[in-house]
Amino acid sequence: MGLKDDESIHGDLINDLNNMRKVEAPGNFENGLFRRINSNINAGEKPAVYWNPFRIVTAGALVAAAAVIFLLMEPKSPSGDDPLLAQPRVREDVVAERTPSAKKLDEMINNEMQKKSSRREPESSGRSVHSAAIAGLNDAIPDDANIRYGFPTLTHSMIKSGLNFRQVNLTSAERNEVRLLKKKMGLRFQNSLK
Amino acid sequence: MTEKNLNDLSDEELIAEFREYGTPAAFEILVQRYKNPLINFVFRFLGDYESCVDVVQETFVKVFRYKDSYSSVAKFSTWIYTIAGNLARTEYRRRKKRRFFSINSYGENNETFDIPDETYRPDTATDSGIKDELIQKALLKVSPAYREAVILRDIQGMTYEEIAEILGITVGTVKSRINRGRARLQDLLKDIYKE
Repeated sequence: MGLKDDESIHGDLINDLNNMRKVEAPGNFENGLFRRINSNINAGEKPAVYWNPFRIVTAGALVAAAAVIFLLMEPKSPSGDDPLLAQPRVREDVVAERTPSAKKLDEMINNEMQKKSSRREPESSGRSVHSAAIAGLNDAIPDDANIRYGFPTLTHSMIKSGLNFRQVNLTSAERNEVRLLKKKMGLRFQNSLK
Repeated sequence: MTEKNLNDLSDEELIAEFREYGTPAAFEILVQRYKNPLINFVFRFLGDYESCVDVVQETFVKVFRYKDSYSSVAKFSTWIYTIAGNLARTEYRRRKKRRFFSINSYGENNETFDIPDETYRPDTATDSGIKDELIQKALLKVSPAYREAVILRDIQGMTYEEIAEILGITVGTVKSRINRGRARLQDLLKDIYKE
C-alpha cells in the first residue's frame, strides 16, 4: 500500500491532528528558564547520581555494619547461652505463705490436740516405750527436709551431704510453725497406731 | 550585532553566534522561536502541561550548557527536537514507573493518563472542542514510539527525513510507525471516524 493511499485512508484524522489547538508556553516561561540557567551555572557540573562515590561508601559501610551485627547476634554462637539448655534461675526472693484458710485449719487442729493432750495428761507420764521412740526419732529428723518435701515426720532420717538442693534459712516464726506441724503429725501417727 | 540583525539570522547562525561570542540575545531569540513548538510537541506526548513546561525548560538549559557539542552538520531544529524528545521519553518513563498523581485509565493495556489540571492550561482559555480532547486522550493510549512519530508528522508537520534524524531511525521505520500509529488512533476514535 502506497503512502498516498495511507494518507487518504486516514485523511480526516490527519486533518484533525493538524488542526488541533496549539498549546503555548506560559507567560513566565523565560523567567523560569533563566532562573534555572543561573542556578545551573552557580551549582556547576553535578556528578552523576548513580556514580556518586559518597553513596557507594555509605552503602558499603551499612553492609559492613549489618554483617558485624549478624556475626555478633548469631544464634549458634558458642559464646552465647542457649536458653533451652540453661539451668532455671532460683528465685530466692519468693517466700511461700500459708493461706488464711490453711491457718484457720491449723488452729483448729491445734486446739483439738491440746484438748486431747490435756485429757490424757495422766497417761503421758507413763508413755509407752513405742511412743517415746517415735518422739525421739521425730526430733532426729531435720525440720527443713520434712517441711519441704511433705514427708511424714516419722521417716528415715536423711543425710543431706552431697545432695543438690537449695537450703533455706527459716525465720524463728517459720521454725515454730514447722515444729508445731511435726508435733501434730507425730500425734496423728500415734493415734493411728492405737 | 544589533538585535534586529540577529532576528534575521537562521537558527544555525544564531547558535553559532551564541557559541562563538556568548551573545545572550542570540539564545533568547532561539528560545522565542522554539518554546511554543516544543511545548506543543511535548504536551501532546505527555498530556500534562506542568511536566511539559518543565521538560522544555530543561531542553533549553541543555542547549545553553552544551552549545559547544552542537554540530553544524545537523539542523538546529533536529538537534533541539532530539533533546526534547529524549527528555520527554525519560519523563514519560519516570511518570509511568511512579504513577505519580495518575489514575488508571479506562483504556487498554493498563495505560495511564494524568488528570488534566485545567487551571494551568492556557489552551483552555479558548474554545477547545470535545474532539480535541478525545484525540488527545486517544493519543496517550497509543504506544510512545508510534505516538511520537505521529505527533512529529501530523501535528508538528515535519518531513519523514527530519523525523528519522530526530528519532535516530530509518525513514522506512518512521513511515511504518506513523502508519501503525494512525491506524491505532483511527481504531480508538472509530466513533468519530466511522468510515
